[in-house]
Amino acid sequence: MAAPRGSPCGTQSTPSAGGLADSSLDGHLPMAQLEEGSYLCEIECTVTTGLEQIAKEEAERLAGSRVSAERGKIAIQLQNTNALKLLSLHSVDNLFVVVGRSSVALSGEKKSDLIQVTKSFLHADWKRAVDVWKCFQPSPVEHDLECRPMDSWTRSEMCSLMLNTSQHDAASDQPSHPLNFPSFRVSCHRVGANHSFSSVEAAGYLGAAVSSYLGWPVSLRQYDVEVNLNVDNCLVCITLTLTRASLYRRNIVHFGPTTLKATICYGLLRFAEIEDGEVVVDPMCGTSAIAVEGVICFPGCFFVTGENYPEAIDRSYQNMQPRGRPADVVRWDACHLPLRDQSVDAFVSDLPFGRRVGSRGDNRRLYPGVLREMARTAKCGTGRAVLLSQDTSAMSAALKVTTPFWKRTM
Amino acid sequence: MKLFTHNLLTSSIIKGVTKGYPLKIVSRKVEISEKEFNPELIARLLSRVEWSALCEAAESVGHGGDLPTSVPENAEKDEEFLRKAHHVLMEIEVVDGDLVCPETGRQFPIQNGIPNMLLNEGEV
Repeated sequence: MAAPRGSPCGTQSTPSAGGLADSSLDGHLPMAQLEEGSYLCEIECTVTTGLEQIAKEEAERLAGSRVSAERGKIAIQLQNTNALKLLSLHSVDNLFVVVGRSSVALSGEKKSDLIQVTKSFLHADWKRAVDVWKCFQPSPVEHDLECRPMDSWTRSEMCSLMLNTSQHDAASDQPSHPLNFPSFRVSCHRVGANHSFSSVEAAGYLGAAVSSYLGWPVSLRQYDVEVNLNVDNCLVCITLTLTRASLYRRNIVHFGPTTLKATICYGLLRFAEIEDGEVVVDPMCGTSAIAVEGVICFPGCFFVTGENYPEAIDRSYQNMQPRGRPADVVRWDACHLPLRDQSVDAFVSDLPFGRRVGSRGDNRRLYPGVLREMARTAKCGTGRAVLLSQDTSAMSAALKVTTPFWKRTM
Repeated sequence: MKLFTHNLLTSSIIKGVTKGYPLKIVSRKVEISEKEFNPELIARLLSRVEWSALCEAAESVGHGGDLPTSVPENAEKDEEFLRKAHHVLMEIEVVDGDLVCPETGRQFPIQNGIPNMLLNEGEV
């Protein structure tokens, strides 16, 4: 008798696609395909580690264009007029528009390295990046934001700036906007052990440069634009943040102590390769975050989620409203699933890690019990399970005991 | 609890019970509401449904009249049949009541549409 295959998912990281290309946006889409007046832009999206391949596939399907992936992020090149579409991606956490990228030569001397890093952005196309940023603002941007280098300003504009800047307090709650400039702050994210400068120093240096070169006022709290300086060893990338609120907080209204991010729920469901018409079960659903994402992204399936903890059942009930979706919540014990043999196509679950909920000791009894019940109720041959857990030792021990039933594929 | 879910549930997990399927339904409050009809979903779910158990369940909540006793040939193309199946599988919700083990009579309460299938210590 063929055994159902199971695929526990731990903290996997997909191999990098070899890093992102140096900035050259010309050539990935033939110019003939761009609509008149539009241009190519590059949008970077942060992704939970391990889900990069899922995110890349989703983005390629949605954008119809080239997507590259590396650890923790994907980069999509597409026509600027299509950028807003990316908000409907289910597998990404935050979106950023790339202002520019380059590779810098670092000597190890702080001042010259900081100059090298900041100099790299001066030739970037800030206007286009700000145009994309404007599209993502919730309310229409009132003023036409200025984005031209100061060497093209008139004398009267310079005087006006100096007058306004001296009255402006960077820490105040009401920043002024001389000449319709957006206020900004710089956040620096640095990877690399041998930099001669700290992230704070780099952020400050770039901030001063943006302020001098573009004339934008700094505001650390009430800023319009967040400029991100990402330094990965000698690769520098400057982006503007597009999403004020992370995309993973969608859907769920009633959170519990361990509610999973919507983006991770989506990733787990994708790993399960769910097809239309399948029965998908989450035997330890908590607040039903996985099923909530499931009924939205996989409307052709039926979801049954179960829990034993009463408060979690209440939250599940709230999150699964309205009841019109093809789904149900059941109160059950995951080690005694009240389901007929071979009635389930896929299990997708976030198992208790044994930290905020349960304990490692409990997991030693829970995991083998759940795996056995899932084996009984999964369809032989095609049944599968995608399980998330941090308690790898309990999982390994449970898999050893249930070897006849489950084949590990991830 | 929709009748599709009821079709999956069993009390055979109770120690000593061999004929725990299908569970009987005692309904105190049933809600009917129109839900979007997805013929492909219904057609595919049919292969997972124990049809006679579904008919029995629909009958016990007072909505069994329309259903044929067995799934017709080429059901996936029979829109009229799929609509009837859709109505029974998705549009009937048992909000308050009990599920009853056919062998032991043990009751599992349903509240707010959520059946409580937790077992007592002696049943495990």
